[in-house]
This record gives sequence, C-alpha cells and structure tokens, in this order.
Amino acid sequence: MFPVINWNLVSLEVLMSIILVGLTVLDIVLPKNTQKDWLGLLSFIALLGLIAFWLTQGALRGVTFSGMFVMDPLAWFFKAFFLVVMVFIFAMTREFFKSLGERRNEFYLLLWLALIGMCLIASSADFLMLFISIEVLTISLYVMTAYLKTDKLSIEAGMKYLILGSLAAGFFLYGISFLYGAAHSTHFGVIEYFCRTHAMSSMTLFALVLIFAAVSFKAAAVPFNLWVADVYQGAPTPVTALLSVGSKAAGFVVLMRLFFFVFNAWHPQWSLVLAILSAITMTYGNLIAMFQTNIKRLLGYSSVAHAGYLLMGLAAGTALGAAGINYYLLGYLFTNLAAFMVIVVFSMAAGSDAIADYAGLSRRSGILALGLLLALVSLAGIPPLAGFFGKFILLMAVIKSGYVWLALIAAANIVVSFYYYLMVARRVYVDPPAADAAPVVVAQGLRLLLIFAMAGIIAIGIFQGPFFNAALTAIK
Amino acid sequence: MSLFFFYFFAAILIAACLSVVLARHPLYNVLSLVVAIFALSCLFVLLEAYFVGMVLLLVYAGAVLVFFLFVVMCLNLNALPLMQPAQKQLQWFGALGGLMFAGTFLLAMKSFLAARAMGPSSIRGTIEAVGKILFTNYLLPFELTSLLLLVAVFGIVSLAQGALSTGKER
Repeated sequence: MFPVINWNLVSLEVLMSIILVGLTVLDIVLPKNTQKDWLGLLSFIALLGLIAFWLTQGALRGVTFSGMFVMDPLAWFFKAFFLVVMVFIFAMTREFFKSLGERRNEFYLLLWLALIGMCLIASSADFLMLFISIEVLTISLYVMTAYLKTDKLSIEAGMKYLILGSLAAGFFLYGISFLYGAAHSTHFGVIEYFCRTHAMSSMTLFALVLIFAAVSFKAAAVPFNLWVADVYQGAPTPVTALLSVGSKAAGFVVLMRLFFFVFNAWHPQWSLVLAILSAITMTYGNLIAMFQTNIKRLLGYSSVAHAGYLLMGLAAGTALGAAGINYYLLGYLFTNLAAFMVIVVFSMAAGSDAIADYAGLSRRSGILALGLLLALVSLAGIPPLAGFFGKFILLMAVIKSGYVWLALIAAANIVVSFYYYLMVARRVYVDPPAADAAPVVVAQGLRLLLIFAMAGIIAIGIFQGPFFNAALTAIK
Repeated sequence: MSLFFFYFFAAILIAACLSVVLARHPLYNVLSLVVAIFALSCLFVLLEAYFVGMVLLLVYAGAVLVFFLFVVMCLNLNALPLMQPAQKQLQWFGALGGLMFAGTFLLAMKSFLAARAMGPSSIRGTIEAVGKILFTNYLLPFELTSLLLLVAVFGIVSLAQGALSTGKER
C-alpha cells in the first residue's frame, strides 16, 4: 500500500533542504545589523561539503517514490554540474551584493531553492514531478531577476521573464495533457513503452511540439528565446550567470531525458525538426550578437547561439551526440562563468557593462583581461581550449547521423562568431584605456576562483580523455 | 441524460469564455470567468471527478476570482476600446498565429477522437480516492509543492520589503 522509500537516493536533496531550513532559521535569529556575511560564508562551506559528499556517491542507481524520482549516471553528472555552478554563483553573489545589506540573505535562500529545483529536474521521472521541479527553479529565478527593485531594467527583466515563463509553463502543461490523453499516464516509463508500441499520431506530435517549445524556454533556444537579451541585461549579473549556465543545463538535461530516453522510439520523426531548429537558433544568435554594445546582451545572444550548437547533439540522437552535449556543457560551465566573474568584478569597479568601457582592460587588471580573453576564445571555439573540442564532437555527431548540411551551417556560424568575440578581445588588449581609468582590484577569493575557471577551460581542452569519458558514462 | 447536461454546460462554458475575451468592461470579464468556472466544475462533476469540481469552485470561483473582482472594483476601471491603435498592425500576425494553432489543434483533436471516446476514469474522483493517490504514488510531487510555497514566501518578503518606505520618500 505505502510506497517503499529509498532515502539513500534522495540524500542530496534531503541534505540541501536541511541546509535551506537551517539557513532560514539563522536568517531570523541573527541580529539584523550584523555586517558579516554569515549566510554567504556558510552557504559556500556547505556547498563545498556537498560536492565532496556527492563525489563519493557516483555509484548511486535506482528509482524511488513510486517511480517519481530516478537516480542514474545522467542525474549524478548533472547534479555535480549544478553544485559546481553554484560555487561560482555564490562567490559572485557575495561580491555583487556587498552593498545590499540584509536583503542579500533572502537572495542566498532563493539561490538554494533554485539549486534544489535544478537537482530535482535532473532526477524527475514523471511529468508531474518535472513540472513542479521546473517551477521551483523558474519562480525563484523570476524573483531573483527583479531583485534590484530600484533598477528599472531589473524590474522590466523580471516582468518579461515572468510573462514569457508563465506562457511556457502553460504550453508545457497543455502538451502534457495531450500526452496523458494518448498514453494514459504521465510517467516516463509508461510513455516510453507507449512510444515503442505506437506510431506517432498528429496528437502526440502536437504534444511533443508544445513540450519542446516550453523546455526551449529554459534552454534559450528558438522559438522561446525572445526574453534572453533583455533579461540577461537587466538581471543582477550573478543571476544572468545562473540563467546562462545552470538554467540552460537544466533545460538540456530535460531535453536529453525526453528525447534520448522517453521519445527515443520516434527519433526519425523529430530529429529533422530539431536539426532545423538548431540551425535557426545558432544563426539567429550569432547574427544579432554582432551588433551588441553591452557585454551582457552580447553574452545573451551568444548563449542563444550555443543553445543552437547544443541542439545539434540532440538532432544527431546518438550516444556520441549526447556525450557531446555533456562535454560541451562542461566546457561551457567554466568558460561562461569565467566571463561572468570578470563582468561582475568589472561592473562593480567601473559601474558599466558597455563593451566600449572595456577598452584597455589589460592595463588595468592583467588577470581580468586574461580571464575574459580565455573565455571569449574558448566560446569562439579556437583550439586547444574547451570550446573547440566540444564543438568538434558535436559536429562529428551530426555528420555521422547524416546531417552534413547542419554541420556546414554550424561551421559557418562558428566563423561568424569569431568576429564579435574577438572584437571584444581586441578592445581589451589593443585599445588604449580611458584617461581616468584606475586599476581594477580583484578580491583574493574571486581571483582564486577565476584562476580555477581558467585552469578548467585549458584542462578540458587539452586533456580531453577523462572529461570525455565522464561525459560518455553519464549517458549509460 | 448526462449527455444533455454535458452539452448544456459545454454551451454555457463556451459562451462564458467568449464573453471573457470579448466583453469591454473588466467587471464583466471577471464575472463571465466566474460563470465559466462554474460550468467547468459542472463538467467535472459529470465525469465523476467530484473533488476536482468542488476544488475548482471553492478555490477559483470562491477565492481567486472574488479577489480579482475586488482589485477591478478598487482600480475603478472603465470600459476599454477593444483594440488599441498600436495593436491594429499586429492583428494580422495574431490572426495568422491563431489560425495555425487552430489548424494544428483540429488535427490533433481528430486523431484524439479517432483513438477512443473516453468515459469517466475508473477511479472515482472522491476526496478519499484523490487523497490516497496523493499520499502514496504522488507523495514526492505533493511534498515538493511546499518548496513552491517557500519560494513564493521568500519572493514576496524580499520584493515587498521596504516597498512602503520607498513610497514615503517619493
């Protein structure tokens, strides 16, 4: 009658919930006028502890809570991914919200909730469960996006994100309802069996399109990418970083679980659609990114373009494509977070996100300039950095699946993207700084983390073997 | 007999929904929505989903829409023109998008009807049955809604904090 619950499988989520409750109580108990950032410090330590714990749990396998919650290598990989992302985000938040006083405490709690939401997304094995996990992540992101209440851009970003996000949620539920009508269940296992035993009808195609559209909202891919630039620009920079890496990866773990496992039997029907969407997404992102003057908007459109590259792995629909997505996201994590760390430090010092103000950064702070250069070059995909090998695997995957035209479009796009990434690099290294420009000071902790990210970009690019193996085992 | 009631309430539902979209005065929009939800909950009762029908009535018609009504009356909104001049240029795109959606939807419905006509679910939609499923099979999603509520609380606290004081400064 009552389901048997295997608590080992949900240990990470339970630990995180306990930490969340503990921090909430601490927030209430702590004296309001304390200057020390206790919550940020404790969150940081707790995260490092969780990562250490999670690395020992690599062999966890199984299903619990009546099949709602699945623990497999894919879930393990992405939970580790989200934990590492959060280490960077917390460090950025501590820097960014120095001036915010006590309001930053609630921000930390929202970050923890977003983390729990992302981890649950990685483990969802039922559409109902998936919907609630996605909403936990998305609603905390709505609040965090509008967090700078006195900043008009932040409010506008929060509003746009909320409206489009609700629309996406509506699409998602509508799609699920059609799928439920066909398969008589919301459980992934049952729907997977249904897909194997039934041909795709126009009803299930309709459901698939709606669900894909809704998840592409998280992944920032066409057709639900219109929020990207304004929200990236207006949101507090740590939130932008979380959106561009954490939320995107959450979108892709859902897409991978759905299209590689659940709808796998219908692969011939949807792979062409995904290939076309991938081509549109990357071309759109790259073309518009060329004309941006704000670095956060530039990275916003670049994030759309990267969603396009990642969709190639999905269109390929093979194990190589899936491993390519994992590997690419791993490189993207260090690359994009390095760029956003530079942006946080620079915008705190210079009070601007305009690309023109980055002129001569190399003479104001060597480490920031080097970090940004490495990130941009890796995003552009120049060997031997992480971005190059990730793109290489994805291109190989689509060519092997017979989409040579997609590989050609992607290659043309990569060449186009060199232009705008290297324009920023040229500003940083070649252009002279403004006359009144002072050196930018980087706090010790952030400097360490930035060096760690740069080491990650180089290591993933040069020592591909172990990282590619990790990406490959994650989909077994 | 139940077929007659189905068509009866379905007709009311469609008429009320049209009036939600087309009525000019915000007050009528909200009131039509109340009627729509009432008709919808009757349809659920016909499907023997008593619990869903009741919850729909209590939560939406009872609480949420009355709240809407208060807001509309407090704001003292007047009748609005059906379309703003700026929207007129967009209406062709809207019509095109709507037609595409309707076409796909009709196709989907066709295969839905061809599949099988579904009767009421084998599980009776009483509170007992819903509760049993909620606390066994759907225990985890049910517990996770507590996280959703927590997000909402944090969000409201952090966004509304100090809202009154900034109002004073102005």
